[in-house]
Amino acid sequence: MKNDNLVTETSSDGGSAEGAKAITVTFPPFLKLVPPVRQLASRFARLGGYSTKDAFRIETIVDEVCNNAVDHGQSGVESKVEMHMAVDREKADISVTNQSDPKKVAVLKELVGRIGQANHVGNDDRRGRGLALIRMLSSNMDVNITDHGTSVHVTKLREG
Amino acid sequence: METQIQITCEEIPGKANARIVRFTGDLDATNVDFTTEQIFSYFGDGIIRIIADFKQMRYVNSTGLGILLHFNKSAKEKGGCFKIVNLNENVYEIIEIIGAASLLDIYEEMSEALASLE
Amino acid sequence: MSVTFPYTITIKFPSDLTVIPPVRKFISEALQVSGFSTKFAFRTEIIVDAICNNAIAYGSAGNADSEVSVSCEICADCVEIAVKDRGGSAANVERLREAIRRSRLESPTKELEEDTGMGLEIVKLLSEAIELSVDENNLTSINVISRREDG
Repeated sequence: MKNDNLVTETSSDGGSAEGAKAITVTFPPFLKLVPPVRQLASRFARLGGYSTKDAFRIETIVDEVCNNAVDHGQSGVESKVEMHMAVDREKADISVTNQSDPKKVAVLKELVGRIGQANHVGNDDRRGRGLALIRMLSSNMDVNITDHGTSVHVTKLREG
Repeated sequence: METQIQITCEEIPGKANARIVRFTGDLDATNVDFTTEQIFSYFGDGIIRIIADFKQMRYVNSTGLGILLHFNKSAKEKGGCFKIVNLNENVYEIIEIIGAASLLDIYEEMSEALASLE
Repeated sequence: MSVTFPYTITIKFPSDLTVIPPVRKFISEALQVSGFSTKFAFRTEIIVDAICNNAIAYGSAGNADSEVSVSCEICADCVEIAVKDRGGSAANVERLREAIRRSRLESPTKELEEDTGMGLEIVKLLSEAIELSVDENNLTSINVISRREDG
């Protein structure tokens, strides 16, 4: 079912620098910046000795969390999203924090509350699957939403 | 400039209102609008049977997955289809994890997808 | 969805040379999605690479807990890059200062002969301005301004 003959950019960045520690990226909430951020996370994971598969999953987690931060957080160039990622031999810890938009907090809380609903995938909504996907890809996810800021912390155990 | 995605379209000999649509790059939140416009322009031209070749598609996030489900549903409502071929292992895993594999029309080989067209 | 100028991105990473490629690629990609040409993005990548390599090699190298900070202020027509690290010896800082100053005085082939300082020479060729400063906490900062040429 799977076609694995794609050339992926991350494969050329792969290394064996075990012991890579942590990076922190701070950026304004522009959606266009999320792909470079997730690619950075993927490459950093590969540097830490993670497989391309694990790096892809980490890329997906970072993408989904950052997309939510941009979509549901405070907009504008003065606002900041911070992505912190720490990897060791056993796990990757990813934390994304951003400033809350008080007008969007209720929607975000509702989205978080919908995680795990049985028919979540089958509905016709084009959005709203990201948090569920993060939950399925990770071993732990904590979401803390206040009127001032939102932080999402995800732990992904190394599988390969 | 969004994350780069290229979409090309080619006719299928002997198959009316059907096309192979080849995707190259990443499908994410930055280019879903562009992608939706492209596919719906095909629908608008009466091309309601699409085989989406994902051989050169490196990455799909949940937003991209959402529009794939939407294309699938829209095509069927018009009496057509949206078939997906040549998914890479990583992308397929994401689709499978989220439970969408059974909702989409996925084929391993292009020949199978072509044969399934009436 | 569009970016608004000016905006700033910062990256903090361990003092490890192997981390530089992902960092410079990230900055290059950020510039490209912001509308800068691939040529400008590539040149900026070269600048970031050279400065970060210097920062680690002559600054915090060997200090496992040290980190490097790269800050990019991205304007509509230019990029200002600031690379900061802690731990450079006074001798190395002075050497760096002299290397920045030297291009106006001596032939650049001196660096070729000595096999040193080529990175900084490339940075000077690609940028409009370069400045070195050290604060009271021994935080060395190199600021580079690169101006967009493609309009």
